[in-house]
Amino acid sequence: MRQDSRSERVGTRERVAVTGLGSISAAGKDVPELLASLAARRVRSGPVPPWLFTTALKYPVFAGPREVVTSTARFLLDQAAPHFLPETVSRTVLLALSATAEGLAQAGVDLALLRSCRVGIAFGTTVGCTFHNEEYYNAWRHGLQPDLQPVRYFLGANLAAALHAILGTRGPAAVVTNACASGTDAIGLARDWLNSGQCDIAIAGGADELSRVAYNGFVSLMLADTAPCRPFSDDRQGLNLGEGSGVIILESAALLSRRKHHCLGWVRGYGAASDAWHPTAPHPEGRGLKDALAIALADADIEASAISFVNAHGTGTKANDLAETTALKDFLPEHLCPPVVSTKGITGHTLGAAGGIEAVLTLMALRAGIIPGTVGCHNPDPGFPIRPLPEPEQQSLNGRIGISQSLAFGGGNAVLVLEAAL
Amino acid sequence: MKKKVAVSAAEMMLLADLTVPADFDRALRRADDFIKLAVVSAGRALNNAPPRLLAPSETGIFIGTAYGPLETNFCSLGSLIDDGEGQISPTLFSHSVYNAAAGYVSRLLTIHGPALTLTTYAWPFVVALDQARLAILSARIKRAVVIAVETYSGLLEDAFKRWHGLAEVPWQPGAVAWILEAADDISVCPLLAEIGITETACEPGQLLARAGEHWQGDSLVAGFGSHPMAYAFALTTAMDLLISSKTVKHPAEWLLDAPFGQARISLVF
Repeated sequence: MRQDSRSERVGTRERVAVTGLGSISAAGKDVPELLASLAARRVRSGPVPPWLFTTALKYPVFAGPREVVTSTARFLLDQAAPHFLPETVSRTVLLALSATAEGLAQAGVDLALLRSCRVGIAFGTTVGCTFHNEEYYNAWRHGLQPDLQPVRYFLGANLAAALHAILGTRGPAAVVTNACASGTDAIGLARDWLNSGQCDIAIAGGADELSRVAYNGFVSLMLADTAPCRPFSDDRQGLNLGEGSGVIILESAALLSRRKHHCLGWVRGYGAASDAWHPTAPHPEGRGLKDALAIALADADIEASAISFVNAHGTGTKANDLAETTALKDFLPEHLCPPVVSTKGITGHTLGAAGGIEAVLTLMALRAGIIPGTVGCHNPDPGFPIRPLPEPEQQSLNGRIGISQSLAFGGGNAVLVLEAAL
Repeated sequence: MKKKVAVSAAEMMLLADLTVPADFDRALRRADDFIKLAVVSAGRALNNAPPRLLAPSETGIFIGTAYGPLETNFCSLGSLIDDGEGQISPTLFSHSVYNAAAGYVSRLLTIHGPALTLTTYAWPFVVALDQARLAILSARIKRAVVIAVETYSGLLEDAFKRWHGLAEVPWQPGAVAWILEAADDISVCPLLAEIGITETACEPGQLLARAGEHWQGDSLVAGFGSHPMAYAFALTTAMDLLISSKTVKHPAEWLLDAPFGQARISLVF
């Protein structure tokens, strides 16, 4: 069954609507700033700010603003949890909160409506769920008995539980820890909740803060670049870590129909698959990605020819960018290849947040009908079987359906099919 | 026809009883206990499930964990402190990522479908079961391997003892693994009809101590102690009994109740 663009159904399912978007990252404290950064090809990378952590290493990062609780988030906090103390939760929770506040505001969902609904909260993260307090660990391993507050902090850092507690909402909660694909998987999972009637509205995406352990880990794996990252470029040397959060507000068709709020678009399909190949490297031909793409398109009930834009994972590592373009070559129509772009040149690789931020960017590009080229890529690698759109170019989009894809450590691959509303 | 989801196998394994099969010995030589428990429990569950001719992409992996590979996370932190910047062990770092276990399971058991690792402190196994059920209902996969693993860590044990003034921790590191099937075309029981989970905000210490947690329902028994895997062991023991005895033919409901929420699993036969 094919879907009419005005229909409320995909196959046998109701469509899941997107009514709000939120984002915070080095590219801006909200979605308009993110889009402005993309349009201006603005790169805000630099040395690790000392207020995040100290390091002698020279690998640049994309740090978010020092103060991550935006005015929109403060307004929400004043209403939802006036006694909430930001210092009692992690930076990752605060990043997620700010993106959520922006998304809810755009969706026109106030606290009263939120608390009257079953609210699903699904977030992807990697750093956000770990215990990285070096001071506590070092004291403990030397036989001391440090104050237990960091353990309390760790146990209170579950993103979905923390946001439910702050917002005073009830409903399904999940934190997806699928490494770099976490945010994409979280949106797919929330879509499933809405399709199965487990919630009326969902807050979904990803959030991650910069951490010294992850920073050093990627350096040790020789996957980080000492210069600003250049995804898909012939001289790419690796990724730059970033931090941030990207959130989309999803609603059931029934709730949206009652509220009559403006719809930004739809999550039409979701697919995930495994490489079953290597702990940290992608399958060289993108085997799992091809499977995930096939599942997502079948789920969306569309053909590959309907895709007008691919927001690639595009980290800037040698292996990822080659695997990804190889998979896309086999998958996309040869003569109608849509623009393939990575947006990590303006955000860095935000790990668990990447899928959320990139879903926001994908939907906004589809709505605008135009996509700027990959920031940092001036000469696409001629060894790629397809040519990603380089920085100096931009391209008008031929349709309103696009995909946002993520690849992860452990061989995970996740793909969202997104459609913009008129 | 409305799709159904059946449970065809349920395995439980304590870390103390873990034996890595010879054919996985080499592949798991660098793996931590978290990864080994996930792989071995999943392998056993698949061996005990009815054989099905499925493509590797038709099976998915769903892992639920509260604390993840925490000991490896600390080893990784120790490597950073001891070895210096940029010298952190790549193996430790990559194994400290929560979904490393899912990657090993997919590689060693040739599973090419989705692999989702979910983290929550209340009932991560039930959350993973629910997501696996939804993935089957959406027809993206026909079979799911659903795993819960906890290995804890010395640091967490010390914190727990100091928090509660205890000399010993009651935790039992281990894993459970269930096999879920799209039941439209095969005849296996019981069927997972519905799963509902509501988590309630609580003091972090309660999530470790599990004070006030209890469960009730057909074949669900106490005696697994009070720790973050106890409910998963109880559910698995009961499910194994139901699968093997095939005696209960009426609908059943399992209820998990605690100060940190409620979970409900409805079964039909």
